Amino acid sequence: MKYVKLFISFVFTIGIFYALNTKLGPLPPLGKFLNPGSGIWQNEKDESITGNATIPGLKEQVTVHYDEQMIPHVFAQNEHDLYKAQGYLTAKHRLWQLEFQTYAAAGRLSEIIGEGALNYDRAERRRGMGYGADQAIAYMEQYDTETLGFLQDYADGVNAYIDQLAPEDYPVEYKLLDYSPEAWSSKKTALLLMYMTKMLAGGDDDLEYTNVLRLIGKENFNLLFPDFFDSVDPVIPKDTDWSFIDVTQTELPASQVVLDTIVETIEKPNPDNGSNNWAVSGAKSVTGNPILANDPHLGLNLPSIWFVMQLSTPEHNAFGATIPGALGVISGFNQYIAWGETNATRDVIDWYKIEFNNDRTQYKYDGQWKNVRVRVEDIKIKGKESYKDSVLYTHHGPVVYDKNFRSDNERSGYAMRWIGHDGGNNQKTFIALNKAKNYDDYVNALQYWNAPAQNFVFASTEGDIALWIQGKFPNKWEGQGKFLMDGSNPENDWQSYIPQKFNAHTKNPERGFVSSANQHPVDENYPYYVFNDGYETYRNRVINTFFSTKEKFSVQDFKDLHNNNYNLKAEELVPYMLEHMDTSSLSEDEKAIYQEISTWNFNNDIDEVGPSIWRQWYGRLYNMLWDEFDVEDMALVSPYTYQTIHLLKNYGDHEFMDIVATEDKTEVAKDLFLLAFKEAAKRLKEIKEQDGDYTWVNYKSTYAGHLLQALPAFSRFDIPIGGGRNIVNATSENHGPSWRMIVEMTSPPTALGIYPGGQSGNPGSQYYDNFIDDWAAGKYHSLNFLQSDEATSAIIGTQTLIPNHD
Amino acid sequence: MPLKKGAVFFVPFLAILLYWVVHCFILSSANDFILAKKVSQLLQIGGNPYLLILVTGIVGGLAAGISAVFGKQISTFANNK
Repeated sequence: MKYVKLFISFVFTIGIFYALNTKLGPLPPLGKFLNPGSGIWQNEKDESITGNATIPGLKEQVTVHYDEQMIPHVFAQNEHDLYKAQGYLTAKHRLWQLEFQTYAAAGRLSEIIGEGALNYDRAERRRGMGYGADQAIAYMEQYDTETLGFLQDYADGVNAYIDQLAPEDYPVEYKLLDYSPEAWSSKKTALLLMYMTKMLAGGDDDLEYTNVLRLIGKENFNLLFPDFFDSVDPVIPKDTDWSFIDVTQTELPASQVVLDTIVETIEKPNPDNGSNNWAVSGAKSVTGNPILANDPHLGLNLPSIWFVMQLSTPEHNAFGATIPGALGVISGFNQYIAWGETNATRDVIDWYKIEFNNDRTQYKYDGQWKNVRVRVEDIKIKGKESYKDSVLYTHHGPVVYDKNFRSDNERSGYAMRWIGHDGGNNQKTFIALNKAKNYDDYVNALQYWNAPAQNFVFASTEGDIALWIQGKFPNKWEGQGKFLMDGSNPENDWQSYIPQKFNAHTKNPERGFVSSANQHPVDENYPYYVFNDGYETYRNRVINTFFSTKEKFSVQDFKDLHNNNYNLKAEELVPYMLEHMDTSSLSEDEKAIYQEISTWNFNNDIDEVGPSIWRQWYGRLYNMLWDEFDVEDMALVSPYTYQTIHLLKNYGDHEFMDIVATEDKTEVAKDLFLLAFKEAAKRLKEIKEQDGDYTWVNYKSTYAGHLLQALPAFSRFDIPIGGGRNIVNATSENHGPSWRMIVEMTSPPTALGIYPGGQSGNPGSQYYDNFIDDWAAGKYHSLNFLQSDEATSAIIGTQTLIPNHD
Repeated sequence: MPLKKGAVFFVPFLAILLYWVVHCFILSSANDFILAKKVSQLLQIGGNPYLLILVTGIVGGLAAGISAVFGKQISTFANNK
């Protein structure tokens, strides 16, 4: 008996300690997780902002002042120390996010989350994310060891922090998922930059367009997907003189489209990823100083993608938004210039059909067989054996789709040609911009930038404003890369690149302002082929119209424009629909809704009902109109909003207006208006019964979701903010202005900035999400641009980073 | 003096429970229970920080109590040999 008792108590003891220290299913290991000495209770605090910390390898002391927004103001004596300090401080406040983003970039989420992430990881590997990062490192090793050295400094800084970190101090997410941080490396910075490239230049619809072309024919395709809409208001003003360009567009070969059927494509980045930026010249500014603004539109996440810092050495002094993992300030200013980016949305991904030999070791090219290279992707999976995926590489790039991935053809595949694989030196651009003193320095800094192509806005204390559309762009023949191409024909390869100095740009234009909002870069007069890869068509016109309404603009005007909720899209269709729709069959309830939208002033303000009605109405109308594109087992894409509205108003009886399912009837546009309206009214009534009302704020319910699948406990919901897609205040449900900055070019510049998050990555800190309410209310925080390492009254704590002299 | 019967389990159980509860309360109250509220929501016990503190105490107490029972068995086993 006593043996039995001993045994049972032994099993219980082992059992309870195993259960409390092991991650079982979705639950964290409860004992470890809740232990007051090592678990989450140790995260119940703010990060320290005083005292000393040691960073091995520092040459001299670095002073870090914190202001009340917990923005670190870093004063280093040289650039190496500066980037060590940036790495250290970023890790201190955002370690989990810093690392998680590069796991996501590299296709390594299965290591943390388990098998559920395998499909995601495989797609990222096949997209060549790791390959592209390797290329970037290889480029720097060969041509720019200075920048590579700074990457290593940053890594040293991050690792100094990780090395000092006891397990009880790990960020909460590590405890939740039960893993530990690994060492940082230069490759991880390269991966982070690939992640940005994917986010902003990783989308294309070539394969979908190929399906569409086969389905509806060339004439209809050109009607639905024109290269230029009937009117455009491009980034570079229409009257720009291009006569200085003396390299011509690649000549059109007799190339044929490959009309394959593609069933399924890899996940695309959010098409709403975009931004606004603009600058007015001194002549157009109330104070006589140029003013610049930037607001990048990205997913609204916690911890936020941005971390604000001041980064200075005796030689330069930069301030603005940084991205954990990248060096220097990304969108910001220094003593002389200010800069910001919006996405240029250019087509830098093309697809080639590859024909293999029998054992897939070679592929056909120019009438011969060329060898395939194999890159084995070893995907580790938590709690399981790792998964090995052999990705075949051609001279075009990785064969993303083949018999092992989303295709069943034994001897063919689709290879991706992506500028992201070309090993650019993006980091150098930011490091140089941080130090730039004038327009020439800015132009010089941009030349290293390959992808993602950006509209870089610029203003200087000298009084210049400018905007360059910078990226490495293939000089394509007319129509090249719109559809799937034959990968065996050399004429289909990218033949050359547009010389960098011929990238579209404008300096001090006559109109007195520059702006960009992801719209067409140029009009038809630019002498190179520019394909419509999803250009925005509404924000740009609201912004440009705003700047033609009066003579001079102030910082207050800039704030108003950031927070502008005008829905131009609705304004261009709603009155037309109201006028042409047959209202005789509307019920009392429907008439009430009709009345509500008739009186809407087209502002997407929080207490309006118009935006909700519009969203329901247009959403249903769009789906009814493009029902032809709702086909199973085929990857398709339906037309852009601008062209949809254009067709509804000008081609109201086109065959596409017909609803395919109603065989005995042929609908025209105004029938769709009514049908969609009735469906929308029904749904709105349901929403009202369920939630009380359908005011825009409730209907939209903007939220900032935690990076880990929007864990509700670590997210913020029901953020009261207006705006929406295609509106200057581009805040939709979970996407929008992720950083708002306004800089007036006084000497030194005076700046405002805010983002929907907080400086701390710790959900247990008051600084985790403390900017959100002010951001939603359209408020800004003054950025305390310190001119020396003397602490001012704005400083609430100072930490000194010291070298270890051993 | 060795503990007897139920006390073998409950005395260490209560001791550790109390120790953990007080420890957590001190850490968490100094930070307005910001994280405790969130973790309580995460573990789906209603977002109540005090309940999370109690659960933490019970978890610690259970481990202590069960270990103590095991310890007692070893000592009983050894003494009876």
